[in-house]
Amino acid sequence: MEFSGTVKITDLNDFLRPSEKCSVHNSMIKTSSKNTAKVSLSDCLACSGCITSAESVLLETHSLATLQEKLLQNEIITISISQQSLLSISDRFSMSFDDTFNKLSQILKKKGVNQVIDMCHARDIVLECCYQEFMIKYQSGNVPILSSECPGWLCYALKKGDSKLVNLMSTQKTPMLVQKNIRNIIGYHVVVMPCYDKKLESFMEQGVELVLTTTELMEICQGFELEECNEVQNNFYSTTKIKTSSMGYAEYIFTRAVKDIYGEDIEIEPKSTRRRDVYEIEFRDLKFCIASGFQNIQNIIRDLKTKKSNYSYIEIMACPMGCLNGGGQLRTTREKIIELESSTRNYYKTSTLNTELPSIERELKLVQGNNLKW
Amino acid sequence: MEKLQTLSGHDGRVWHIDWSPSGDLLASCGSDKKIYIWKLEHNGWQVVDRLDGSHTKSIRKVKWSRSGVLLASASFDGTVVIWKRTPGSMEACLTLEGHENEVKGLSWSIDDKYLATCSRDKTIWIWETDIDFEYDTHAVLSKHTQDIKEISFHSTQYLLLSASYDNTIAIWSLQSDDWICINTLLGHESTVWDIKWLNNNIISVSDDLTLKYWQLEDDNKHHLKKTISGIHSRSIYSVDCSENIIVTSAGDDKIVIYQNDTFNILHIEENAHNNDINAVRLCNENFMASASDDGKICIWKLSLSLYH
Repeated sequence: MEFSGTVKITDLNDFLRPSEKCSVHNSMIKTSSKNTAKVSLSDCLACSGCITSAESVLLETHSLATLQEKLLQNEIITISISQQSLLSISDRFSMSFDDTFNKLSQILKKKGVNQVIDMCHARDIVLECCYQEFMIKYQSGNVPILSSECPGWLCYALKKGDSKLVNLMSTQKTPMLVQKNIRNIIGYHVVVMPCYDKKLESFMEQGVELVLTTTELMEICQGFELEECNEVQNNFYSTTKIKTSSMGYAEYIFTRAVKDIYGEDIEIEPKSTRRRDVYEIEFRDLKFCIASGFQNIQNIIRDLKTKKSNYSYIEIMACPMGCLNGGGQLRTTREKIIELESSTRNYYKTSTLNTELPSIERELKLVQGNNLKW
Repeated sequence: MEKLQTLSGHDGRVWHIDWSPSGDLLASCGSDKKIYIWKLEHNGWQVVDRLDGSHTKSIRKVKWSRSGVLLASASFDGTVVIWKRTPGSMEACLTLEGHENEVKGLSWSIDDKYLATCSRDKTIWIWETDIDFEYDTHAVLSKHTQDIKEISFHSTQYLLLSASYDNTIAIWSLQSDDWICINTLLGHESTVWDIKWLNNNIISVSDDLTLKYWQLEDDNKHHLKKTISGIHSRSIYSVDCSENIIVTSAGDDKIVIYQNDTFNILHIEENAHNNDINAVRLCNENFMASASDDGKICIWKLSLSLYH
């Protein structure tokens, strides 16, 4: 099992020993030479020292075996599949996004899963929440905001223990954490995500019982030919759809903000910069940044410290090129990701998009809250 | 080989020394968290600058940039400081933060565009500089499973060597903006302490008491060609080479000089210091400096008879 580079960078030491910079106050962890310290995972996600102990717990609980056990017990099981995971699979099998979802759904149901749903609506809601958060902070000059979706980046930022940095981070919950409420999911809830680090995140909040990666999902589907399922269902439900292979926070917020502030509809074309995997979106005074890869996390942090950064919003992802290259995704190449990014962009340029906003008053109330309590 | 002068100043062990490219200055660093800059005056080598207060723990390495304008220092405090040579003094320009713990080694690329640093955190960081003298993190490389002791850029290409406590040497190459590990050299049986490019070939020294020579062959890979053992009786910490000679220093307080093609021993200097010799660096074919746990730096003159 592989965590993202940011998590992996730390010492792997199975002896439970809080690191020097443990975010939990050291006095809370009682250690003596004889007794093993008890630290709950949610206390320690942000801390390098304890992550290996956590790893073994996770291996036991967040594995395919757990799902297979639940299937045998005939529990009511719902599987939610993230867009990033769907995109990874649809890319591998050269199928459309909707086809991929429908086929996976059929296979999983044959395996005994009661319900398979997408996470587009959860994403729409979260994007809208993030946009509202942005407007409030932007208008009071309280920017930049740093995205907090990527668990690899969030872990790293919290671990650094730099409160100035953490205070800049978006406080919205992630789609994974709101999915259960939004879609009124009952029973055992499994979420399929692009990275292993999401398993860590699931310990933050009720609502997700099991996190599997895209590769783990494909393991369940073994024995079924994805190409052979043909029946078409249609329970797809989204307004924003994907324009990028990752979450698209920067793009969504930017488009909405330009419309709100300047009254203009614009087509976004992220511009590359002298740093590889760092893109900028700019319109008049509004300047956003999308940065991926551990080295760029370092560069962004350094720019913020030295006050060289003039962005209003920065979407940060730990994996180079974002979620399609996540640790739990099907292996692909740099060239393929670039190709896919531009083709999804072109596809949405030419298709008619439903730009109407979802009616989400009720849901907004459900999901607003602090993501950063861990 | 003749000892010209013993330089005292550091309080505690001297970890490393480095000659400026023109050979006019010698930089040294140690457990006293200080960097000394030495210059040859009419009455011998004298301290011309003492750099203090930038690091909070031992300074493990100092390296001049290839242009000689910059000096980088790597410290156990996890940071790297870049110093600029100005007329008469050295000024601290900036601090590179990122490593999780002790920085053990560093190396400048031929054009000074990249600075590589390595650490006990098992990672290599490549820093890229631009004309505005800003440093970006260009890459963070993980491969070694243990502490990385030293890294070394090739003198003409973007090729990098790393030596580790995991007993291996990795070779990294810049390919379309990515640093790729193109080969791992297995052979040492203990910590690899120092590595150098000898043209396109590689020499390495280790805690396993051997000096190894790895040759680039037709398959475009390096292969172990020679192992020199039985010379040093304690861990070999440092190796340097020039057109004609190779020199090693070790925990047995000895400095050994070899012919660089035959590996024949030209000279052994017993008790060159009173304690472990952490570093030995050739200035040119005539001068050499060594740094030791005894707190001293020695300047040596190499006699021409060595070469004949």
